[in-house]
Amino acid sequence: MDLSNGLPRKELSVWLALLLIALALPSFSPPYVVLSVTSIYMYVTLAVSWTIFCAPTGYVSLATATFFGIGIYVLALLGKTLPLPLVIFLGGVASLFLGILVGLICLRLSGFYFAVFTFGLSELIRNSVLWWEHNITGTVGRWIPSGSAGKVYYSMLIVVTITVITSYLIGRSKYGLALKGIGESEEASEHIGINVTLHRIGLFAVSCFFMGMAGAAMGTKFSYIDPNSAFSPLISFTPVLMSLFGGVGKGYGPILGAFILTFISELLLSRFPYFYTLIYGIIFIVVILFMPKGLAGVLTRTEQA
Amino acid sequence: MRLILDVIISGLIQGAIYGLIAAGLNLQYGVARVLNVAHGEFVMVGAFWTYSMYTIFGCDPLLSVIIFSPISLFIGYLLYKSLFQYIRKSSETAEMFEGNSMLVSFGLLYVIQNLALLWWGTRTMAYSYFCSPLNFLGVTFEANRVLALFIGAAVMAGFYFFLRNARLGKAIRAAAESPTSAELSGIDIHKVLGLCFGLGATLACVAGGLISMMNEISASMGFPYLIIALVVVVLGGLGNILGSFLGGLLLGLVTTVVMYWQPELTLIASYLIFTLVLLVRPQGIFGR
Amino acid sequence: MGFLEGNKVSKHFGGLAAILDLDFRVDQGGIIGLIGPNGAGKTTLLNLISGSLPPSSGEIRFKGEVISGLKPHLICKKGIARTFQSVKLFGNITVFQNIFLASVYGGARDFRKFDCKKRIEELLEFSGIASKSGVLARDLRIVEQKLVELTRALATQPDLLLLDEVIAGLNPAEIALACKMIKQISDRGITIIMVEHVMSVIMSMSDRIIVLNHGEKIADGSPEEISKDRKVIETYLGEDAPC
Repeated sequence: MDLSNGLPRKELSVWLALLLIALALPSFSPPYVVLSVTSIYMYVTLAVSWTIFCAPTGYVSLATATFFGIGIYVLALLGKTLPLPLVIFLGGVASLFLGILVGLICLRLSGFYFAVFTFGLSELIRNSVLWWEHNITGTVGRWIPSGSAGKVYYSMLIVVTITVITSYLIGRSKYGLALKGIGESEEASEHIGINVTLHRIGLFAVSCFFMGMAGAAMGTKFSYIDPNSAFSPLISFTPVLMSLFGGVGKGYGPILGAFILTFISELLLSRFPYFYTLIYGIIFIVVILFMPKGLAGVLTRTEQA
Repeated sequence: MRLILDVIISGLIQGAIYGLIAAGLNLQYGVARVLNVAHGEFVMVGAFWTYSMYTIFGCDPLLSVIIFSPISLFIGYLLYKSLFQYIRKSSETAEMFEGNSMLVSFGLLYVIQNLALLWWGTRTMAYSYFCSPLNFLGVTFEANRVLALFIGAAVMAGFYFFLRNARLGKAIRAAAESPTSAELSGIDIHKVLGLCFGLGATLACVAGGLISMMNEISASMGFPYLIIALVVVVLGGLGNILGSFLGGLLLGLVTTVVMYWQPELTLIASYLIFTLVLLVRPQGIFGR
Repeated sequence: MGFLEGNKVSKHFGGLAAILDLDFRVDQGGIIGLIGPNGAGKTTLLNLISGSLPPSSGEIRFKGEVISGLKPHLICKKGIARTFQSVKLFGNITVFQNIFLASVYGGARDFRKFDCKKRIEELLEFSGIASKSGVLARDLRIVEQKLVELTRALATQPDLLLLDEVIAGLNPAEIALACKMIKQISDRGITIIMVEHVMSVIMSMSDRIIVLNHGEKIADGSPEEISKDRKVIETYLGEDAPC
């Protein structure tokens, strides 16, 4: 049932055009551009999957790195024996199940506590895997069956497209509406028949699924992976920054935020390697001060003006 | 016996540092509601300031700490008044304020760390101060470590009495409990919150100074201390300053014990305690 | 088999007993008033029935099944709906969407999407707020918000409707409107338990009244019996005199 306005034809054609350009990109761009764009796809996927759960519920999850890292490890373990698409799918599945487990444990925590718990859990897992590899398996890190730049690019493109489409469909479905209701009043939602716990865990699991797929797809870019890179806290923080920067009020916010921030950081990294974080930090502060609702907030206001 | 004493005292020294840093973060988040992820960077700045003053001017670290305490208080106050108060006024909801102020502090983190890297480079540095061996309660320590313990304890005690008895301290506690009631009873809430933020920064800098006396420092040392501060704040209870001091001591003891037993498990132990406390008693061991 | 029964129901908060050893029985049909001084435990009782809170001891049965301890969404699906003392609408979505959620999640299992829009429009007509269908819930006046919350509860097709101080904050004209609606809902066969402080309304609308004080039932009978009950009069001495 059409709960909100359907996607107007103009917007749809813009997205289709972008998709066509994306499909053709490797044929007319140098390899470093392809790699950069692949990174952008990764961050878009992470930002959008983070937003799928955290925007309607108001939670801040800092465990993205864990679910992403699991995807990479699934690739490391199964990449040689199974075809890539299946491995990517399984990476998502593994993260999904862990997501359900984590959700069951900690979704009853509120705001600040949920955020720090997910962060603590993420770091606990990272350090535990590190310790395990150090002491039990003897080697830190694993070799990964790697793929060509083109293979990584198209894998990531498929993942990001599926993620964005799913996010859009959820937003327009009755589940998306129920989640908005849960965000506003959990008690009222329960009393009209919505199983709040199930919805939250389900949504969290979906979010983790895409993070896992992103990990498995991205993993083929590296030939070697260790717990510190796979589960790096930076992978948890960056999508949060990007989503809030782009604005979580609108669907395209995280996509825009991820795109622009990744682009800026790649640009700054190559031009000003010594001042990179300084300039990044200043831009960040200025944007948050003057655009508290993110870029999407500004665009909405200019639309209405 | 000597080993036990060694572990306990080492743990308390470590814990005193943790307590100071955590209390600082608790003032900033528990009261002023700013989750300052750049808190660790203030520790680093304090450490480097002390280091520079000693190596360049030969200035006694304790004197440095005394000098920069009011400076860091002022800078912290300014930061709050310029950045965070602005965000508070322009945020529609409390969640937006907390989210945006956290993001701004992320920006601060990047800026401060980059500046530190530019100024001091990536190498680790250290200086020797007061490191003759001292026999304390039967165990030998470097004198600077014992000194750090006493100063840390003194600052904690002093601050605790300040909160209890001084007018400003009581205003802070009032603001921590209920900002709106505090405002209604005539307290200039923004001044108090600004001071809280400044005091938090000062505690971090003092801790940094003490750390520099004992350990090596580097431009990237801040972040791990932020994490520890978070763990201790949760252990001690959000908004409970005394809880942060006690929690810090507790964590210091536990991590030191683990370090003597199985050094590789130190971080894991911290995170394990952290997650368990959150699941079992999220308001903290000492929290209400 | 009783419709709604409570057996030695208690609810403690810390050391305080909000409800103590309460037995109650409600038959299907009609309007039951639930009154008592502030702090008597009226809202707590509604919370126990609707599932917001589990009882500390005792049992509540609905249509023969034990519902105490179940989560609210399950109790909703069994046929109990409620409104809240302070309106809990989903402010950032439209009136229609508020009702839609209740329909889809709380309605009967054999519900079809095709019927959904029609049914919701019918409900909106019934409540008189059809014109506000596309308005964001937070942009409504208080009386309209209460009507939306009432309609939302109705959308879950309940057999039992719990109303918690629906008419608080309404002017006389709005109160008359609300009372008319409640009567119409009752005429449709839905049993209603309403908590109210305005005596005249309770007396005129209820078929039966239960009076609580300090978490215990002190009277249970027709409005006439209640108005003559000495214990009730004593309880209210100094407060609103029963009319």
